[in-house]
Amino acid sequence: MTTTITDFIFPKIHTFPPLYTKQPNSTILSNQLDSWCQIILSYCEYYRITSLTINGIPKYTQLETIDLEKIPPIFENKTINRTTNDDFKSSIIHHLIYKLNKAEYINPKKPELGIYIYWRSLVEWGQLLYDYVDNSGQLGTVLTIYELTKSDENGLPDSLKNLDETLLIKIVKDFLIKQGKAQILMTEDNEIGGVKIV
Amino acid sequence: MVSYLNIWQSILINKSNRPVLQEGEYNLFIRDNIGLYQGKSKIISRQNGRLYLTNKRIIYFDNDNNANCMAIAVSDVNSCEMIEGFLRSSPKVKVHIKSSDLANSSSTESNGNGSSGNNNNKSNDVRIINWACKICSYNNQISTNFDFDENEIPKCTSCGIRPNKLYLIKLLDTSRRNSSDGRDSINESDTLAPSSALSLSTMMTSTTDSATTDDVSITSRRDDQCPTCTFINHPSMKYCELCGSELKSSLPPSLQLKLNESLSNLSTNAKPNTSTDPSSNITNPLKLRLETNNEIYTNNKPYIKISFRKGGEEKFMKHLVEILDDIRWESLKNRGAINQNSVKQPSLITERKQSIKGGPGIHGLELKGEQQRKRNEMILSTSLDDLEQLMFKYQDLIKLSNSFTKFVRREGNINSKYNTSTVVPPLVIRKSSPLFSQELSRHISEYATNFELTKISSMITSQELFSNYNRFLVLTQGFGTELISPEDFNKAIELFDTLKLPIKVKTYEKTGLIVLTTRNSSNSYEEFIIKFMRDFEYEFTYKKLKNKEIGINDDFLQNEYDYFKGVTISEVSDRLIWSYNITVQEIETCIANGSIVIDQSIAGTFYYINQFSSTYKSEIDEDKLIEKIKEEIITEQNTITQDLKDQYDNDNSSNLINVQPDYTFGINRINELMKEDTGASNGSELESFRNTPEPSAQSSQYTSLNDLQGLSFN
Repeated sequence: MTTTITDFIFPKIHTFPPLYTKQPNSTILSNQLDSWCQIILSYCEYYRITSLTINGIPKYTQLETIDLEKIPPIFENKTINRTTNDDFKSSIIHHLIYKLNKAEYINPKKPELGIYIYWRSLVEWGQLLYDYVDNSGQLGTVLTIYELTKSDENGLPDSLKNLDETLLIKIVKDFLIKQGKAQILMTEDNEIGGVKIV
Repeated sequence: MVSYLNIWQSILINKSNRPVLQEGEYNLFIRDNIGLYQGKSKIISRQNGRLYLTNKRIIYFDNDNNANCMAIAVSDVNSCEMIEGFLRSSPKVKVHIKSSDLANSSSTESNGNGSSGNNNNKSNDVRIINWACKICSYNNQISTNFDFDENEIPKCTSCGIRPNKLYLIKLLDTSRRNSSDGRDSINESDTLAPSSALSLSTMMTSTTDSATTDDVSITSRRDDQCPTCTFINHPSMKYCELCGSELKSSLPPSLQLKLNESLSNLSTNAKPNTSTDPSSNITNPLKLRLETNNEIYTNNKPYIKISFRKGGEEKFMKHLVEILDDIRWESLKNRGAINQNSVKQPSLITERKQSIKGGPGIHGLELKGEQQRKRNEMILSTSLDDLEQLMFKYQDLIKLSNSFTKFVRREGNINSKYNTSTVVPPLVIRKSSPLFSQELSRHISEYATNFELTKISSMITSQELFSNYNRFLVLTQGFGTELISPEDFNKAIELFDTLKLPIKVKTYEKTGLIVLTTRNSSNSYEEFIIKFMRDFEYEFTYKKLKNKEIGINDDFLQNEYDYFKGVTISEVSDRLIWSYNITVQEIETCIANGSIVIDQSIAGTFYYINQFSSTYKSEIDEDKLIEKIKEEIITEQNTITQDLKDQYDNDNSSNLINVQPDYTFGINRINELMKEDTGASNGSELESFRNTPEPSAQSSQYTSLNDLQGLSFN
């Protein structure tokens, strides 16, 4: 695991002042929203951020070494002194969720909780998970969530390491279970005790 | 030969070059272009002025020199008559002056502050008497006609305590009884003797009589002595220095006149020349000079003539006659020569126009109608009187402005776009002509294509074109040209299409803005805006990179060239010479087309070329640009170095040349000198060489000489 990480280099468009103003022309606006989503996705991928608040502040990252408060914010550019206003942010997120399907509300009933950012789609995540379990010969074994995210043994790949637990469960539930490749074992307290991938 | 030049008095003038009127005086009539005659001869340097006829004076106000202003009291005027103009002589009004004695006395009278003259006229029954304050024993004054019912009892001016009313009434009663007895105190002697039944002429003599008796009484009495406390005051004092009671002026009239003049000089610049000779001062206080040496009067009666170079003599006559009548009426009334309830007959001039009640029948009706018409006519003519004068002034103004036209034109040529070789000939057509609109339309089009819509990207709003066109009219044809009204302009604009003129009207649907463009111009101005933005950005990047290369790096530049800040509407309007409104509209169109994007921040609204679309590719290749800039900098540095070097060489060589023009600087020359080796001559030549520079130039070329001295010559 890398100890430090250099700041994300925003694409050139990030220093283009009109980017921060919602464009009146609808064609331009959709281009602009595309640009924004592109920025968000690459930004999140770079920092391994899997969820954002609805205001675009990083919520969870797989990288333990970085301080989420210190990395440069997405919606702000200090050099050109511009910020996106909240209204425009929500339309960007809306675009990201409904047009590009690259994000999802953590809880659709409570959008204020934030969003998952799918710079890697659920399918890809699920495939990654399945491959790992398969490769490590643990198919059919019950694995705890901890084992799937934090464990140093069994050669857990970097990409899965320290994955947001809620996201992991979502991957298992929304993808693997639907494919019939996994089962979730509940504890007596109605909590998820383990995952069995077959 | 008696001189009547002393009827003229100096007047007070205010800052705006108008005469200062006395109390109760008002203007009746004003006329420009007036000349003055004394008798038969012109008064020199009183030939171009304004005439103010007031109810008290006839004032001549010189247009050239304020010091030449003067006036004559109406009370000095006996009568007046008109002299019609003949060939080149302009119409004149002859004003007859009363006899010499009166002229003298009244001139001194009104030469003062006017109040003394007023007092003299009125003081038949009104006098000022003294009352002593019971508290502080200060002498206060009160007029004998003081009305106790209407006015509050006056306070003592010294201590502020009001006196007892009974005391004042008693005092006034006694003084009134005294005056009715005819036996007066010394105070009384300055008032005119009440001469009730005397005719006008005898009244005049009585005034002179009283004046002479006055003089006698003064000479018998100790001069300047206060009548109340016997303190001897300075002759110029008006009130006793000690007790404050009014003093009788003991000065002879000539001195008094002088004193008054010097007092009035304090506030006026119409300064009469004070003469050392007192006698000439009296006869001709204003030092008037006539064309002829002597005053010549026909029939030996004194008169002046007022020449009306630009008309107006009739009205002047009318007003003057009215005033004279009024004065006569008043004086008769004062003398009690008029029966009670008697009505003054209207003056001759007005009488003519006054109606006689029409009789019965058709004739009467006709007469009435005639009278009505005449009355209307009179009202109209009098009310338009001022307008007429205004028109005279207006014509003067036009003349004046025309004299400036050439300056205006030249200025216009220098500063503005009207200096192109194309000349738009002025429009010569009457407004009433049916072709006016079309002609105007053509003219506007001609103007616009020549001066306003010179580029293919040019656009101008209708309002701007309207104002510019009118300005153009003024600049080319001078002031006084008729400007185009908005209605005519709008009509003319609408005709562009029907007349197939090279410009067309374009209306923005959103705002209704009307814009004029050339007919062959494209419908979209997007390309111009985009091109401008490109250039602008290129320029910006160029400067930024250049500064970076040169290595200048201060705060300002850092802020300024941190990132491309886009263009503002005003920058676009500036570059494309559009008005702001047009630019707003055009940029909106561009935004709608998707070629321009907007950036709104606290700092303002900026516009950029659309970079969101995938097709966008920056035309600026920074690496190439950097290369280019580097080269440029190098050449620039070279030029600068070369220039500096040249300059330095120039300076030095010119220094050397000044030392001795035919001397070729260098070791060769010295060697030659050495080779000659003629001992003394060699030394002297060197010596003279050293002394060649002029002493004055020595200091400036000292450095170069020093260099020479550094060389060893032996």
